[in-house]
Amino acid sequence: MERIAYPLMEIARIGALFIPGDMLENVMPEERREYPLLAGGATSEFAVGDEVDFVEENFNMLKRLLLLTERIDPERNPYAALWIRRPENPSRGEVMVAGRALPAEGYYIQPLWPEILRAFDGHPTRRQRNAGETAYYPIRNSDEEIVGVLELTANLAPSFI
Amino acid sequence: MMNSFLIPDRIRICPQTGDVLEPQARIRSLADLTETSASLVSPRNAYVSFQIAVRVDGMANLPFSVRADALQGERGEIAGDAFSFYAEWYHRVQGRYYPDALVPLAAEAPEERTLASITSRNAVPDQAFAVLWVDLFIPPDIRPGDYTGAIHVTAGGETETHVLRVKALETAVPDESLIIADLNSYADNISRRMDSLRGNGNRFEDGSYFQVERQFFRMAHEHRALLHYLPYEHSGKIPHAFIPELEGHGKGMRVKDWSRFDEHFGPYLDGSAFEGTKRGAIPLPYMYLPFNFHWPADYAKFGMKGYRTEFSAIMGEFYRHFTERGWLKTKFELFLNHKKRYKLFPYDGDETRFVWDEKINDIFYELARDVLEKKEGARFIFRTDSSWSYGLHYGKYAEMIKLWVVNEQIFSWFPESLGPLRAAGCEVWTYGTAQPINQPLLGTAIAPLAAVARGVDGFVYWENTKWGDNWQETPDSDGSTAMFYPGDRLFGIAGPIPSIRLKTLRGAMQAADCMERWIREQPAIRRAKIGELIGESLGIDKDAWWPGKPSFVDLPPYRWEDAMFSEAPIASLHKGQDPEAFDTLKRKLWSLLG
Repeated sequence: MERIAYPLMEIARIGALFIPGDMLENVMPEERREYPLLAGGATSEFAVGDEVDFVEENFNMLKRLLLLTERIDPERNPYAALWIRRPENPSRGEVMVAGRALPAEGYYIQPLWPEILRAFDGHPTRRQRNAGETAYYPIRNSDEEIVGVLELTANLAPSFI
Repeated sequence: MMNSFLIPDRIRICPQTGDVLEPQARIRSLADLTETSASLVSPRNAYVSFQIAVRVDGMANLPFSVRADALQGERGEIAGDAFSFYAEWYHRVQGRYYPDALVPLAAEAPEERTLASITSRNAVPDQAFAVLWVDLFIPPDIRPGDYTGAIHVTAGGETETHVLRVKALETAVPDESLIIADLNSYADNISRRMDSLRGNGNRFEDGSYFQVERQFFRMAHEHRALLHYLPYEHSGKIPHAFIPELEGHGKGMRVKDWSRFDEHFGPYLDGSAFEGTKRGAIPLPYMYLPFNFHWPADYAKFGMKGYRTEFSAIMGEFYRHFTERGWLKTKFELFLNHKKRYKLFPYDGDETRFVWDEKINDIFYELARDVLEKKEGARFIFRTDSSWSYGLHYGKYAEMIKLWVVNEQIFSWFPESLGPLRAAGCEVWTYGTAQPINQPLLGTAIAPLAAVARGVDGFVYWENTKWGDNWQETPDSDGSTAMFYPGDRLFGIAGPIPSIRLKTLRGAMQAADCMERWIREQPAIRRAKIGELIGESLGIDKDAWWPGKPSFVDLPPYRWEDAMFSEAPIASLHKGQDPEAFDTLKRKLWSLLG
């Protein structure tokens, strides 16, 4: 019987089942969550990035789940990442944990776009990207609040870094 | 009226006015520069360089040729083919034109590489002068003494002859560098940045990548530098041509096929890639290993026994293979470049700021211990690039980490660190960036001299192939991230072309290697003597090498703020010095060494 590849959204749905939103909420130590403000007004990307720190147990668990989610269907071979909204400015967001590669948008804090915002509003959303495809899926904490979005992207070059 | 002028290698001139661009230069007229440039002094087995400025007065297509006679000495000659000629390419930086890229000229060069064609395409408005860079290699086997010859410059149908005198010294520069001039870059930047490779998805299979990459390594080697090419991305991903093919997982993981890896790296590691260069077939002294947080071990297993199983098994295979192949002259570096800012891993393997990340040193040392502690065979070492936590780590990790690459400024705060590191058998390099094009060339000469004066083993320019898409006009970062330029787009050269700063670096490295060889015969006395020599010649205060500690040095590094650095001590080693100071230094050096 011919095997049918999983739809990306189905892989995202399965992955999201296992990703604990509480860990994503606590992936940075509390004192680092508004890390851009700690750079003291310095504008260089290096100075801001120097302030990034993580809670390793939470990061490593989330990273592991992303890497395994990417492998649910080897034929699709997507890359995965978890996005959050910036607490000091929810119209902007950033990747907080990346799987085997960084999304094409990179690691910067940046304005969020309609498809990912729909997922932050609770609606799994598919985005066609020329030959590539992205699925955005909401991630909830144990209070059932949406605290992040799982991205799965296939057939699109990730960010080179 | 004279239409051509000799210019020393430490001075650049404005193509529009002929004015000297180095602001502190004492000699500023072309006629005076010609006089000082006609007499050269050089050790043997070394390059000595100068320039020829040609008046073009707006006629970019002026017919032009240059020819060098053999230099005759009392007991031999230096052949005319010891000269190499390059056309200087001008870039616009901060509102002025500066030369930096050098386009090789040759008698049989195609039309796109004639001086007229290059000048025409460079299209400097109101250009009054075109300039050639000239390298003259003084062979190791000639007799010391005076040699005289001539350079014939023909422009617009008129020929001018410049007599050239060269004093070849008894001293010969060693083939092997004793100071490491490390030109860092990241795989697979060459593919992304060379037009001839960018669109070729088959570049590894058809071999075109290897041919181009080898030209970069050879050019670095010929300029007494080391291209140091980290094979993995921050994610841990590695182009397949940079690693052997693996198979299996967990206890079943092993190397399936070394052939691709050996084809790629074997010639660098047995030295054959460098055959035909003046320095000869010397294997790379250092090379990054591909090992990282996510290769060969699967990071999904991090913290579990299977991670160790995979990591240690493949490292053991590397050791056995490298030893069997006889790659015994290269130090293979386990280096973890990951940074948490990229959200791919929760630890800074590179430049640890948060002290709790130092556990990475302990974890990976343990994973690689069996190989790192081998006393025979191929040499594998643990390397760290250190800044924030250097003051906390040099004592703590000296027994594990054998190569310390330290932020230049922060290193200068800790002169007391060298003793413990040396006692533990560690090597120390500093890191910074290359000088931008619009800074005086003397700044490019300072890194090798500072390494000798401070007693460290080398220095790193952190990125050297990031010339940018618009490099022919203004390179990225005003040139501080490019010591090479691509030869393919404009000149049909399937490889790099050098920069004036790379030539300047080579000149300083020749002096530094001679200094270091002399010092190592009696280091206790001679290090200080050379330091004084450099200091006197370049107007560097005795205390300037080690400018003291900042007030915040005792705070945990994660509490250091960016703004604090504006007040932190920094070694200002060459600012405001005239470029002739380097000539003064060399005169004193050659007088000391003979």
